[in-house]
Order: sequence, then C-alpha cells, then structure tokens
Amino acid sequence: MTQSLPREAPASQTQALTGQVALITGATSGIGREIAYLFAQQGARIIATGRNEAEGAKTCAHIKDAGGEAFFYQQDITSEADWEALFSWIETEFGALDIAVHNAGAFFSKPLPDTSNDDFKWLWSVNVDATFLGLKHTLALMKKTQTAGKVVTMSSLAGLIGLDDCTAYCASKAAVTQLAKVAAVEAARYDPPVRVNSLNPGVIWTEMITGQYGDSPEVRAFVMDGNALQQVGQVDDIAEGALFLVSDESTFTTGTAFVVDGGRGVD
Amino acid sequence: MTSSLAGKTAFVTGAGSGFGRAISHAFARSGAAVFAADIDEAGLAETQAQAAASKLTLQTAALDVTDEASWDAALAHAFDGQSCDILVNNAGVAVIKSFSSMTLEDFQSVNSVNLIGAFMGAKAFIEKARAAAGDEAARGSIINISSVTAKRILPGFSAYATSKAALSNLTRALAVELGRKGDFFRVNAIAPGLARTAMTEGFDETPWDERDHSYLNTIPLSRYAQTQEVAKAALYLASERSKFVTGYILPVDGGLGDVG
Repeated sequence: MTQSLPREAPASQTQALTGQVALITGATSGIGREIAYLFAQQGARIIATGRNEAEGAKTCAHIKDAGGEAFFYQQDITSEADWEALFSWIETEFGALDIAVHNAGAFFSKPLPDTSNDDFKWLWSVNVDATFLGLKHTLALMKKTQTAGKVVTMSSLAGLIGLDDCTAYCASKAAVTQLAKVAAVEAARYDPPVRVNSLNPGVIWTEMITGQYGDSPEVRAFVMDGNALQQVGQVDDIAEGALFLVSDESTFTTGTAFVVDGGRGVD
Repeated sequence: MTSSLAGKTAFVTGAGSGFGRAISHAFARSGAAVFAADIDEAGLAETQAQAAASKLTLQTAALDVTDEASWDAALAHAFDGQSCDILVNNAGVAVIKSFSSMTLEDFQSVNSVNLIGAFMGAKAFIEKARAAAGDEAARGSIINISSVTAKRILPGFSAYATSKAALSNLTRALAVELGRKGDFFRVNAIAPGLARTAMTEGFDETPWDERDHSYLNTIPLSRYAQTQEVAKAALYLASERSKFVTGYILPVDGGLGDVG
C-alpha cells in the first residue's frame, strides 16, 4: 500500500483545523491513518481509534514526530459500551469534539449464494451498526456542548452503485450513505448546526483492496481501467476530500454523498 | 487557505458579479493568474477595482458566451504565452416565469447562455489546451456552475432548472470522455443553493428585504448560499487536492438537494 508521510505546512500557510479536536475511527491503517496525518498537519488534535494498539501507536508516533498532537484509544466499534466509555473520556479530557470521521469499516467480496447470514450480519455490524452508534454518540455530545461540529461517515461508491459479488458490502455502504443524510437533517437544526456528510471513495489503493485481490500489475490495471481518469486512487485523495468536508471550505455543504472516484461511477 | 493555485492560469466567466466575482478573487488570492470574463464590462471593471483594493491582480476579457468567435478571442488571451489550466463556466441567466407565460424565446435564451455557453467554452478550452500541450498530455480542470434547482425546483424555474440539469449532465459526460485518450482533464460542477446576487436580485422588482423568504424554511441550514462558499468549493475543485475527483456535482446548498 502507498502512504504519504505527513507533509509540513509551509510557514506562510494558515492551518485549516488549528486546535480542533478530531476523532478518527479506524486510524490504524489506510485511509483513516492518512486522514489522521492530514488533519494533524492542519493543526487538529487527533483522537485515533482502532482495535490494533500497535498500529494505533504507530499512527500517533508519526503525528507526534511531526510536531502534532495525537491520542490512541483502543475501541471495538461494535460495542456501545466502548462508545460510551470513549465519549465519556473525550468529554472529560477535551470538553468537546469538533470533528468526527467514522471511517472504520470492513470489506469482503462473495457471490450472493455463498454469502452466509453470519457473513452478512458481521459486515452489517461493523459498517452500519458501528456507524449508527458513532453518529449517535457524536451528535449527542456536539448538541450538548453546542459545538458547530463537522461529521463524516466513510461510505463508498459501492454505496451508490452495485458492484459484482459485493452484495453485503454495497448494501452496508448504502446504509452508511443514508445514515449521514438523515443525520444531517436533524443536526442542521442544532444550535449551532452540525454538518454531516458521507465520503464515497471509488477504488482506493489500500490493504483493503490488496488483502482481497493481491497486489499485481493485473489488479492495478483493473483498478485504473475502471475510472475515467485511468489513475489509481490514493489515500491522500480521500484525506483531502475529508479535509474539505470538515473545514471552512464547505460551510454550506451537508447531507451529501461526496464521491471521490476518478469518475468511476459516472460511466 | 489550504489550496494553492500558484503557477496556474484560470479563466472565469460571468466574473462581473456574484459567484464569478468571488471565484475570481479567491483564485487570485490563491496565486493564480486570473482572466475574469463577462459581457458586462461595467461589472468587470468593478470586479477588477475590488481586486486592486485588496492588492490582487486580475486581467479582464470581454466575452459573450453565446458567441463562438467571442470565446475564441477571449481564450486566446488566456493561452497567450502560457497554458490555461482552469476554466470556470459560471456565466448564467435566469428567466423566472410561470410555464404558461414562458415563451420559446425565453427558454432558448436561458439555455443558450447556461448550457450552450458552457458547451462552447469547454470545446474552445479543450482545443486550445491540447494545442498548447503539443505532444504532452493536456491537463486541466473545468468547473461548471450548476444549481440546486437541477434537483429541487421552484415554480417558475422551468427554463433555468432545465438548463442547469443539462449542465450537470454535460459535466458528467465530459468527465467520461476527457479523462481518457491521453488527456487529463477533470470536469466537475458546483450546485449552489440560491444566493443574493445580481441575478437573484433581478428575479423580482420587490426589494430584497421586503420579499417573502419563507423558501429558507425548506433548506436544512435555513439560509441563502454565500458567494464565498461557492468560491471555496471552486478553489478545491481547481486545485491538485481534488486530483481524483471528476464527474462530481458538488452541492453548496445547505442540504436542500439531498434532504428535506
């Protein structure tokens, strides 16, 4: 997998997220880790969560080495008790939460007749139930603390169009897209309003892809061929999209599904 | 500002007011060489004067987006001595009337600016960018300013909403064609909600403050769009930060297009 190092902001450039507290789930690898790096580089105080403590520690060490601030919190996103404990810690430690990126998720590809009920329920639990719990606790805290928060759920292009042999994944990501949309309606009424959007990446080069399909010239060619730009999407493309959604660049954008896919979904 | 356009050249239509003016100023502030184009030369002069007051430099170009020769002449300036990297098809007009009183001439006049104008602009821009690139891959970012009315429509908007829906789909069609064949053009649109601009001021003879603004109750964020918000979205789509974004219609609409 490819991963860029934290980039130093030019001294003349104002940071976009200075002092803001940002929760990023699944920040132990891939897209989540890159989002943590970029937000930290833009001045955010990072709360990185995930199951894998060693990888979480790496994410935080990387940020601290670059002069940023990061905390790892080990979390099973399917456990509401874990969410309650996390948010209780956030409230005690930081007082409020400005940004949440509900990124943690999983993927598998299987033909529909081979997908067991347990397969389906497991993916639904990790992708949908966990996003529901994350949104619920995030919005509760933002409402209570009257924070003009910005929330992103990590969906997928697969939440908008059908992909071969991906019934469980596509259905779960459609739910994640819709969770953001409906949460946006409610959260727009908060005082101050909270913005909620989903981010819908196309195929991005991470271990979620290489873990399922391997890393070969054929896989790369397949990934590139499928989109109008004929490029392999990179984690920094998604991190920049996430930054757009949580920064003052998008103050009038809420409830949308932001597609970053090289045009894959258009043709 | 997180996006830099240093070293880039941008051509913005409808730059004599509203979104086009804000986009021109934001691009210049981010380091781009900006060609601000409009048929309204007085408006353009004001855009330039405001830029100068903020110590920003702009070049202006007279442009009738419905005239192919006018496009050719105006873009020739932007491609003179450099390649132009960014085209913003922002010029737009509205005729707001009930459908029964909408004439064919009304309908065609709106579509000729909002849709055909963008079509001609994209065509001229691509041709010149390819010529400037020579044997290299031509690169560029085209941004069309569509509207939330492509999705959520008010009475009286049959011409305008139709032109903007077509512009959104032209965006997607160009994205599919123009990323391939050795080129690297990204084509996206912004779909703003209604904002207070010269165009919307002109919808009605009633002064703005005396109008019925109950429309805002239908918008989740309960307000009009601000021109700066459209400019920020354009800046993101123009910059390399969005290098994997194409064929996307980015809403700046307070949630109206997606929910409610």
